[in-house]
Amino acid sequence: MGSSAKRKKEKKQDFQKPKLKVGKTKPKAANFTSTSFKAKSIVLTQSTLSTTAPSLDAQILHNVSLLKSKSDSQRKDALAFITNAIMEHRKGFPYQVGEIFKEACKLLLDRSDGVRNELLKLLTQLPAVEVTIHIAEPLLRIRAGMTSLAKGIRFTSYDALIWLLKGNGEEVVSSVGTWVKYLQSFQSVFAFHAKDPAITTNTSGWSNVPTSVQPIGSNDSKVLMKQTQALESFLRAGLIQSGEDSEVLAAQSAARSFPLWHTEYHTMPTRSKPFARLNLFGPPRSAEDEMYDDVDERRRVFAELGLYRTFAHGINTLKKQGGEVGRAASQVEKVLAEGMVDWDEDKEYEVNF
Amino acid sequence: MGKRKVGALEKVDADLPNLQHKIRRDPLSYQDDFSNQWNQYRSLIDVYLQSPSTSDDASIVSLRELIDFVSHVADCYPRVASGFADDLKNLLASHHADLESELRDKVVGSLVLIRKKEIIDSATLLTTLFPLLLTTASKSLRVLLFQKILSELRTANSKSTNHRLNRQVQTLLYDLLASDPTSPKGIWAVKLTRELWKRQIWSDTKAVEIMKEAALSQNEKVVCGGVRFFLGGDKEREEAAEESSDEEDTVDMAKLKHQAGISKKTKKKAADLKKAAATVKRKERKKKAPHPLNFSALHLLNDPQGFAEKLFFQHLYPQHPKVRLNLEQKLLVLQLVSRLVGLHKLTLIQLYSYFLKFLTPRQPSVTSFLASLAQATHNLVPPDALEPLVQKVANEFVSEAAAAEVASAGLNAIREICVRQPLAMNETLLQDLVMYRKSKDKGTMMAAKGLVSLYREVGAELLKKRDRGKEAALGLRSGALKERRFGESEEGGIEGLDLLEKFKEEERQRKRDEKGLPEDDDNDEALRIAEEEQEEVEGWKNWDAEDDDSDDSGGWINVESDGEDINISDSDDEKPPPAKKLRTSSSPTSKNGEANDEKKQPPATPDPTNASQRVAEVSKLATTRILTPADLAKLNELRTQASIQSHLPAARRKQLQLAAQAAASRHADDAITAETISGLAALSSKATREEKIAHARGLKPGEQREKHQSTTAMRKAKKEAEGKSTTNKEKARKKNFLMTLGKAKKKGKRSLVETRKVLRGHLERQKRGGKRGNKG
Repeated sequence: MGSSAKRKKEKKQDFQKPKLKVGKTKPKAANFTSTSFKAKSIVLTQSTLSTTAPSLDAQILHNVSLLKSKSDSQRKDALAFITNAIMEHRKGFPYQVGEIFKEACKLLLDRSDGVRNELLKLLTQLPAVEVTIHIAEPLLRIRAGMTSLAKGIRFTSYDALIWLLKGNGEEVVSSVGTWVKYLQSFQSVFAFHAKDPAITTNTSGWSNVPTSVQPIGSNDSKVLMKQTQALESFLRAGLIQSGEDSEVLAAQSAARSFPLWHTEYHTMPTRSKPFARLNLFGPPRSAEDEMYDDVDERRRVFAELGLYRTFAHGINTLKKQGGEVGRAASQVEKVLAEGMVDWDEDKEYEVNF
Repeated sequence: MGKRKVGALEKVDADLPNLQHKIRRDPLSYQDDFSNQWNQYRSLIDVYLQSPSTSDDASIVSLRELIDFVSHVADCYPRVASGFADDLKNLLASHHADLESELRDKVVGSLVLIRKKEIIDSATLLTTLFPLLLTTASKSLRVLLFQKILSELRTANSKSTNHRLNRQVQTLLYDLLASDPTSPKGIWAVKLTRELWKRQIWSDTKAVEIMKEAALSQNEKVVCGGVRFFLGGDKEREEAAEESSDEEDTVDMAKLKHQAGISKKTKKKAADLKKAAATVKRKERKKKAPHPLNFSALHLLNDPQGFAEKLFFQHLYPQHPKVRLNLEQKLLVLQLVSRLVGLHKLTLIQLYSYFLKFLTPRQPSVTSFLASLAQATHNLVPPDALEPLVQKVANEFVSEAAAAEVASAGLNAIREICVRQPLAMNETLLQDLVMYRKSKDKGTMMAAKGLVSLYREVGAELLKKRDRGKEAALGLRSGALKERRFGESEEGGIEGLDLLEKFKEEERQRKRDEKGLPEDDDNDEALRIAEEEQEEVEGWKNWDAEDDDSDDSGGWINVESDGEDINISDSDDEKPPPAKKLRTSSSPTSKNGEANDEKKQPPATPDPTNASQRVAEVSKLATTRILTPADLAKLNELRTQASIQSHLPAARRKQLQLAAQAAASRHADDAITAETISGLAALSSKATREEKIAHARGLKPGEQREKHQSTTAMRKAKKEAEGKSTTNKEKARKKNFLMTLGKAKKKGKRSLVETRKVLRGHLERQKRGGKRGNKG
């Protein structure tokens, strides 16, 4: 754009080579940036270099802390490390398994699939007995996961629930606020509707789509399968008496520690939140928040809240779908039949919440 | 088995915003999906409540998203989501301190949102947010809450005043201040009330009561907030109102219409235009709406005497007050007290002796003290209380040894005091002060002259004979200018009533003439009474007398012959005077002449007998009869006429004098500031050249003049600011020379045909309006 003499001159200058002279330093380029700086002291960050490898204890501690890391892969690797460590050192594992379990359960709702899969692997490695005392930790998260929008999280939740029920079925169904709330979650997940006039009547003039068997994500029979299995094991744990009567068990344990009396009250509790039933500090509980630690009580609530009828109806419809899901549903039906065998639907029970 | 029905959500990529959108469109079909999410939300809240302080990021994020989702669609499922509002309230109330900040803001926002969806009512929202505003330690939350509370109150009052809610909130604020006067939390009540006052949402006594309570509290910040409100709240409100009316002019309809004619016509642009037209219309309507009555906070005060006393005895009078205020704050309180005293003419004798110790030139911001003193003076203050003060000001400030500014400030302050209570001055002191008229310093001289001209009007006897001036001397001699005694006040009257009286008399005379009765027959009293009664009956019949003017004869105005520059207001809204009737009366010229003469006479030197006579007349008419609507209309008319006549040159001088007087005695509502006291000192020193230039340009002292620029550059900048390009001329000027060269060379060698083609092309382009034309 050399329209003026001045600009022409300027342009010319751009293309002129600087003359280099012997014995002189090279002239600095126009865009030269000085990187020198002044400082009173220079501190190098510490890097740990040691000839001995850290102990297993320290490593596990480090990896447990890494479970809170922001990066997906780091969490996954940490989980994998812990799983391996547990597998290798079954005896004399230097760290409290319960603590690991507590931390790991926070990853149940993790957004990364890899982390959750790794978590499931870890869970299967944990001994059921060690977990019992911390069982309240995962229950809320599993319930949240069951209704999540992400398929993967739902899948993980059902898997975790099934695993929990396998080892600690009685504990799960009898902890605070689990029984009714889980059943409600299942109801909503399966989209079993109680006969509710409010829903059906307000669509006058339009053919109502029968939404009763439109469970969430039902295009994926795999999830539905898992869901049905989870429901089955949940109902089994809740409605069917496991093993002997509690009185017989108590008698047996008393016999075992014969000269001592009521030893279990003086030892460390084996179940989580042993005094939760007293509800010392919380707000008064509603029917759904209450804990039901007796099979008959659970049955009663199951029937009285109308859940029994709803579930029986829903499962019946689900069974008609046939296939894998249908078979699983028939299993659930069996459990229902077995659990509520001596239940008379028309009989009036006194309500005493 | 038939084809399986596909669930509503399966087809779409499952995410919450998407689901929210779908739910909004068809709530019924997505009921299950909502209840799933509702369950998840419940469990996440439970997870959170288990350990509120140690929750991990992921669950907080998902909880936040779920709360957002639920709050957006909760109105579709009132049955399922019935506990939502309570959940949020509890979460906020018990965990606001350790909630993660973003989640906390989301919860507040969601509460406001469900208020908008009418799931909860304003009162619930405000009673949730307001306690939080007081307790939280987080500044950002306080800012957010304050803003939300304010906007909630604004929206609640937007359509019509929500008296119930206002009363509730006002009681809440009042209780906050009254329950614990020492707590600094009262500042929120002050802030909220002031903001709502400014926006004219609250303009009632209750709001003023809150501020009164604040001013009497025992926390210095709250006190200052309350006091500042009384001193500046009304001005702020006025400014805000002006600002909002300024904003209204932003839409230029003509420009928009023009733009719509030029640019491409799309549906969007048409809609825009329509919208703009609607807003303009709305604003127009708003402008025409009757102005809301807004009384000043000082006038809405209930029991100003008690308030002023409490303020004074709580904050100023005691040696060790409960609240330690610094000088600036004390001055504010003093300003308010003196303002109240001056405005409501209160009696607070201790206030004047309180001033005594501050009236020395070395006292910091003494001009403010002087201004307050002047403000606290009114004609019902006993002169005994003021005399020592005036004496002290004169002794301390006004002396030959004092600096020019000090002397002028002192004189000015004395003048301001004496304007309000002339009896505060004694003869010796005044004659002493008047001598400063001869001072070399201009400020002092002007101040002293002001004092002289004041006392020529209000107390000429105190001046020496040679200082009195002509008018005052004449007035004294005739007895019209009497010193007013303490507590004496001017008697009132109805303006223009004498004119009406005169008119009635003429009218009666005219009727008598028509009937051929003898002029002014005194024994025919009965007939006269009957006439009057009939007249009155007719007057009452014609209720809206102002609407149908009886005079359609066009405006004949009696113009005095001696007027050179006649200044007749010709605006339409002034009613033409009923000159026709006047002319048909028996002796119109002489009567009018009389009227004019009376008008012309300055009130300072009226004929004493005439004055007393007139007073008698006035009292007779106003006390013996009830003025009918017709009378009132006539009165108005006569007043207008008189005002037109007073525009004429003979009356002109008098009018100017009156205007000057009005300017001198400012409105009682206006505050006196330190500037009024020290104003004259500016005259003492000569202004520098820069100051003069700045003054001439109308710039304020600190302001800088814009950069010097050529007109062209300014025009260019203006164009650029409007988002326009340069002109064609500018483009042509800037065009590269080499590009023009080829054309210029070729131009000479063109053939005739080529030239014709070029010219035709040029014409064609012009018709089209440029190369691309003006189409679409």
